[in-house]
Amino acid sequence: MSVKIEIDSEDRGLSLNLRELWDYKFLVLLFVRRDFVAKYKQNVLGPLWFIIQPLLMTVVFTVVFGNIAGISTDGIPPMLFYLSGLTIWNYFAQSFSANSTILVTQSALYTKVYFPRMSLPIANVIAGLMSFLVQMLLFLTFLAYFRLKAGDAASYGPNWTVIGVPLYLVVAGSFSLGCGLWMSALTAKYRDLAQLAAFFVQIGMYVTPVIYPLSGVSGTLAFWLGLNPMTSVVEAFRFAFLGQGSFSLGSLAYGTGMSLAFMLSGMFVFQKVQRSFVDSV
Amino acid sequence: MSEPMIHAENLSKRYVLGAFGAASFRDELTDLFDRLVKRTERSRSPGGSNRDFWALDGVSFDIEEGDTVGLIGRNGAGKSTLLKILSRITMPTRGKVTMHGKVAALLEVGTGFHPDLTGIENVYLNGAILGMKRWEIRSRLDSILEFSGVGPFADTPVKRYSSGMRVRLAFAVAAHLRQDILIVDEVLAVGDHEFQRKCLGKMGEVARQGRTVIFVSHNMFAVSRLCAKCMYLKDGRLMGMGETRDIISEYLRDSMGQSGCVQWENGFAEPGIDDFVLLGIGLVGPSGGIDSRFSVVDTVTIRFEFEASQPIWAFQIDVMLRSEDGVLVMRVSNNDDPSVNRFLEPGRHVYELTIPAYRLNQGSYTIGAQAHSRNSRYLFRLDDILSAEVELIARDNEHLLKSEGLLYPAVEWKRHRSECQVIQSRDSG
Repeated sequence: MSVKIEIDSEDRGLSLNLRELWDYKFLVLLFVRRDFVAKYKQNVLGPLWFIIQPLLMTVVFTVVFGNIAGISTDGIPPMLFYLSGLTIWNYFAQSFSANSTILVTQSALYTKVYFPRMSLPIANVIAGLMSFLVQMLLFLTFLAYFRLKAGDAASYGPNWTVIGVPLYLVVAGSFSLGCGLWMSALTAKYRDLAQLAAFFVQIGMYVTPVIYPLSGVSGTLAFWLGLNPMTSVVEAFRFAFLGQGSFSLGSLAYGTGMSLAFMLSGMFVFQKVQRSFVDSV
Repeated sequence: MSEPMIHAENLSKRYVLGAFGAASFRDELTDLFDRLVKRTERSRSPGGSNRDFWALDGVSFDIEEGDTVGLIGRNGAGKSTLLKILSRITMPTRGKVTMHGKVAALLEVGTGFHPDLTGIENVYLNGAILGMKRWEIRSRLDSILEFSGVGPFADTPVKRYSSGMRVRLAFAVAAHLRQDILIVDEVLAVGDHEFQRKCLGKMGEVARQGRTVIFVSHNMFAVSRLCAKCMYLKDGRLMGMGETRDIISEYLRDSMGQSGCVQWENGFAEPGIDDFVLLGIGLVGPSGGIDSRFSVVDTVTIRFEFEASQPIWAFQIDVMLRSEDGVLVMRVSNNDDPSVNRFLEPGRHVYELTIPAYRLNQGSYTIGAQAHSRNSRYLFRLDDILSAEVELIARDNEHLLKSEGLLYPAVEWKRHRSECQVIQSRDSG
């Protein structure tokens, strides 16, 4: 008998059961797959939605912020500018939205069987990578098109910092997981907060340089925006592919640290809440 | 092995009834903060308010390796709570459990099934949720598919399956679990008779392999066939644990103590239900009075009185009649007759169900009932709430013969002179 399970009313405080989570990695993989298949098959347009949504958003932004409001895009074609920001931002936002009410929406599963509770939110963040890849393809297609059209005159393009993109994804993913876990812990207790989640995503986009460049923001404001880990991620992502924006190791380090802090604290809070939430549904 | 497979010590579980959101959001936040940081006791009122409900109260027991233990008791006795604690879905408020082995809990068949995934994909998903490793599922896949009988449709999305196929596939996965401890709720109550038989057979097989099984059921027949030992829970306390035969008879003796009528002074409401209270349930004899003794020639009427404070749609009430040894004699519902209006306007209602004369043979019967409304919301669930004694008492100079079996039907015998009548009629038909 190699396994010994102890169930104790005592709250063991700081235990994340990461080892157990690792034992269930296959389940995480299957959740990712289930998520993807479900998205694929339930809609008539299937995976096209991954493309249509950012494309429409980009068009709207180009008209509203580019043409009407006249917000600067640092000399980059507005389409490319918005698409680059949206591609990485959507990865954060979609994973966050999927996780923000996970305890409530998946309560049928959580109340019927035991499995590491965190495997579902983690699967969501990984599944988000799939739609990110599709949107990435869209972005790269547009980038190639604009570059070819502009010829040698183009002042923008990818540079060596693209090797950092996987890191940016990890940062965005862990920040998204952290925020999602915090939010799901809150919505499990106060259902009405679910309304706030969508609102947070919108606010979040405006306090992240998605539709404007950080360079166009004044000093004090830029400092406050810099506190948002996604700011460094979006800026660095844009710099990698377009060569415009700010690339600073300092702010990236801060963003990474902050994201990890959010993720860890989110995990603890989530673990705490999941212990008792089953009794309230 | 001197240590027991499962060792439970002073298990208690408290639920706080209703009253969620009574405090302000700010209070809740500070409370949440306190809990996270200081890890204090959960309740703001440490003495425990009268809204508390102890679903389990100081339950301790040991289960040895290879034991097959039945868990019996009425609904609300704490069986489900105990199951949920053992399967780690919920945490005990007090006490602890130590288990030496991996646990698989079947509180439902087909947990996590996704309609868009194929049969095989769902086998993997469901298996993984129940704690199987990838190689375990892969090596048993053929056997699972064969057991389920969905073979040719293994690559078809499950949404195109019949509900029977879905249940069979789900159970096939569950049947191939190889955990040391298997916890099974009354999932066997689903499916047709044939399928239930197959499930019971499989459970017996599992038990013979020397694994530890905990089986929860209202079906005393199934429990006595499967389990060597039994635990009897009542009002959150462990009333007894021991040989199945002894414990079941203790349980039945307890249940039979009920008379022909139960009334609640302030009404009975299930936890979480605030728009429906049960006022009373009673057995009414042919004379119109409450009774618990009937003759086989009597009609038996079961009367429900309840009050709805809000309109209730799709009200359904099911009545189960069981014989002494737990065999389900009948289960009827007001839903059986589609012409009955099932909308319940607010106010007091009386529902009556009459079992005609000449149906039940002499013996003791227990009556349980449950009701639910739209979206399968349970309004109440009461097992063995009443008991009835049916006797061979002759009335009006009738001569009653003793007969065996569950039924005492008013059969008719005929005798014909002609030869080969049966064969002739079959030919002409």
